[in-house]
Amino acid sequence: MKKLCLILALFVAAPVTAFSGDIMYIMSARAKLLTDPAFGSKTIENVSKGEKILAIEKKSNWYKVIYNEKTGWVSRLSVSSHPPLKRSRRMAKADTKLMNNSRRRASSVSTTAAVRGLTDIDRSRVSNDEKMDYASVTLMENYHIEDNEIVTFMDDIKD
Amino acid sequence: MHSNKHSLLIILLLLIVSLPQAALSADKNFRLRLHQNNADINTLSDIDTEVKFGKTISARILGQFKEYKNEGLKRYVNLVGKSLAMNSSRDEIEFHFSVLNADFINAYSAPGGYVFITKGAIKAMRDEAELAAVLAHEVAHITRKHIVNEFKIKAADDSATAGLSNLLGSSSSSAKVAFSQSVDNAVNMLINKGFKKEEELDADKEALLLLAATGYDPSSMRRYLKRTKHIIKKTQSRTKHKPTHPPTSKRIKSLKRIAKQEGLNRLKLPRANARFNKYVRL
Repeated sequence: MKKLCLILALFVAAPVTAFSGDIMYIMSARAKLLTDPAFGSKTIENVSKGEKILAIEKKSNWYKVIYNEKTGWVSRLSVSSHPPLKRSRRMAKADTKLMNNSRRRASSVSTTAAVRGLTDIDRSRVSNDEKMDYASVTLMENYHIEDNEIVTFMDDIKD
Repeated sequence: MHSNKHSLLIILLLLIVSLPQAALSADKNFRLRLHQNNADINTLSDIDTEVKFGKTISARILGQFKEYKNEGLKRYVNLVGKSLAMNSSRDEIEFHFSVLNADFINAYSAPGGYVFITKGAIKAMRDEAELAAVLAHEVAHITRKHIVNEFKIKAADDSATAGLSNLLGSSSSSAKVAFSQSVDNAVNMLINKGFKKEEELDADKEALLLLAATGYDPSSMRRYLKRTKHIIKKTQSRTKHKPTHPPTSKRIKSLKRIAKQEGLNRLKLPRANARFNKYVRL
């Protein structure tokens, strides 16, 4: 009987010690550690982008996490299992450079076409209904607003 | 009697054993869900490919509808849109917002962070939270990668299941034509057919969470849909622009249900009416 109890006790202990959390990263610029899994609940602490958190539970769109020795909840929108990547503005910059070069050689023109996904065959397919306006897209891409301006604007959302 | 005691003890011990096993199983499920939440994490090359595809679609959209030239409105729409993007799960891409010079009510989004809203859609709005709601829905199509998944957009690799990736990685003429055909299909989906119904409802759900996370009244989307329901119907009957979203009544019903589920109906968040009136004069 004692033997049986010992075996069962060991069997019980093994999975308990195996339980642990998962490292996750804060992705959004304004994540909040909240007391409960709801947007209206109290903020324990603001968590900066890129910070590591330990996720211990998931409930609907919320993760229960440990951060800075405090336990709270963060929205699913704010976290990822991978650290944040750098913003992808490289394509836009490459295109602008190509489009602004007035001394484009034939090879660079074809490079531009390749970047745009356009070849002579493609161009021949462009009808009036399929006009492409890359210049306007580039202008759209180059319209930049600094992050601190966006944060100031967000802080002023009020009735 | 002695054997009965033994049986009872064994049953009790088995019950005790099963509890941590269940906890372990829950832990496994949690890890699986966590993995699924991040299953679509891309490499920088995947993101560049997505931007390239989205840029081509955007060139087609801006070829069809010109941008509405108004510096103040452009800045305002970008500030609202970028505020939402800052709270989204895809901070690795830069979002760009543009107002289209069109009087009908609609908004579009292309992979890689390109969002378009018509002048007509803004004209029908009453406050900043409603503008944020429409932009959040479009941002959600991008963060949930609806087009990316539909057209299997990722950087070129050697796998047989790479989908569009090999077209984007190849320099052959036939590959370029196939690329253009995919762009055609994506543009047709955005402007004429619309996303799948479940993707639209998914974008609505994500948009509600995004609105609350940014600090806007989540009921704004329902208010806007209710008000524009009849205008959209009327406009569409006399123009060539087709509806690209599921029936409004279905969306309103679904939004109400989600808001209740997520506890968003109890939130008292601002609509930012005064700031909207200051910047929007259409």
